[in-house]
Amino acid sequence: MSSSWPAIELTLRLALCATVVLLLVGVPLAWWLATTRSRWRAPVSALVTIPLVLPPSVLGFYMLIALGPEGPLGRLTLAMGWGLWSFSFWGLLLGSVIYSLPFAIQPLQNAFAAMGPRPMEAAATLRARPLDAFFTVALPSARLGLASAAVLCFAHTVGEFGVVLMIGGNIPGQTQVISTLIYGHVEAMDYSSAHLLAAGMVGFSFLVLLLLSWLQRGAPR
Amino acid sequence: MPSLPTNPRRRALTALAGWAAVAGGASAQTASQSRKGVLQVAVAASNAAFMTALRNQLANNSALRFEMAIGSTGALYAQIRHGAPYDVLVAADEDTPRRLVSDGLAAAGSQTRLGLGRLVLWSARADWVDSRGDVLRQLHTERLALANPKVAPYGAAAQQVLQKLELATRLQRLLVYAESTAQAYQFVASGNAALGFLARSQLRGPSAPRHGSSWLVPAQLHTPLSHSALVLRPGHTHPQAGAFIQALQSPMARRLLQDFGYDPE
Repeated sequence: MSSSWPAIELTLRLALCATVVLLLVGVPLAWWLATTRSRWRAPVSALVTIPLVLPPSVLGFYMLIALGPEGPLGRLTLAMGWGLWSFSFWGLLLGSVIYSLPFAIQPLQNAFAAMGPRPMEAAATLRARPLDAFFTVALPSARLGLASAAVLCFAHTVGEFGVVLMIGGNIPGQTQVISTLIYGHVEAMDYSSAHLLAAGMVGFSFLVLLLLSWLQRGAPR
Repeated sequence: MPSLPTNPRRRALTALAGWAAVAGGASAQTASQSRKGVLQVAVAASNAAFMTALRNQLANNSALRFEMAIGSTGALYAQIRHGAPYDVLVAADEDTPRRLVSDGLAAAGSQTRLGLGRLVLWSARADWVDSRGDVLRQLHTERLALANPKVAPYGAAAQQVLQKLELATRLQRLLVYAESTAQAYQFVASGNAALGFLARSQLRGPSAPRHGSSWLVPAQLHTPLSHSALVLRPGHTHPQAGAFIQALQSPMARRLLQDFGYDPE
């Protein structure tokens, strides 16, 4: 079990970082999707939802090519002096953010849409600038959506497997997360180690869903 | 191609149902009737290139047909232990077939040797890997890929080589672990890993890369990679399992093995 700690620590760190990035990217994107009348709304909405239905192997395959020295992202990271991102924390973070993006967008967009245009219009008549109104009116009233998005992103990143398997390289302490460690234990028929971690994941997932249902019960309907 | 673990597992479930019927006292006749499907062959990733060529040859010259499930030898072993319905295993070692016999999951008599596989250090970059492997001593930040030593014989061999060369500790932080030699190839071919330990057979055949540079690792630096095949329990009732083993021993297969860089034992 002690040898599992680096994987557990890495998994939590990855999930935390992915959640922060996803909220930073997801809030403006979800706001735009909830309020815009642009004809780009539908295509953009479909694009950010793709990871929900795409097999992780497709994402992993494209990321492996994109992050390689001949790929667009690989060229970029090399030109910036960051080296290659495959087999690194940054590569996993990028993969996790893409993979969990729909889980950030959906609850946020729903929360913003449920609010309707009225509160923002009221704030505007009180001469609040749009950005002020967004932070003092829209964001606080979407706090339950924000919390749901954070919990979902965190949990979904913890549960990520296929993308990590394909671009991670399974390096202990660096890219070996709980899910790939369990897979490695099972492949090597080390079932007692696999059992401990797998049971932990079941317990974790249960608690997350319990938390989510509490959050959603608090939501105004 | 990455190995596809889901498919064999799904098949494992259907197999469990099938085996239960056999164990429940169904007659041999019903068993053989249920085994009329295409021969299922579990293939170690290092043998995939050779086996694909063999399948194409057999398709032209005989009535023998088979499906392949590709993975590391260790992963295939774990699946077979849990009832995966493979008729034949084409492994990258001798130990796994031997263990399957002692587990009672295969008959001893059917085991046949294919030859000695050879380990190569390969890079997609031309003129980089030298003919003595000295490049290993000059690595600083480049990633070095190898198959997971716990489940892949070529990964275990690669680890032995690094230990023999007294580079294991120094290169530890540069190592990237692949599920099988197939994924190791994918890591190196895409340039994400600068170089990696592969099977020589992966660099042969029509779809193999023509570029890059490699070092043929001397065979005395690791325990021999004695590839061998044998008929598994589900294959005992399959009419084509015996013919498949014979095909592996045929002069045509021997020629192919030579073409794909296997050494005779």
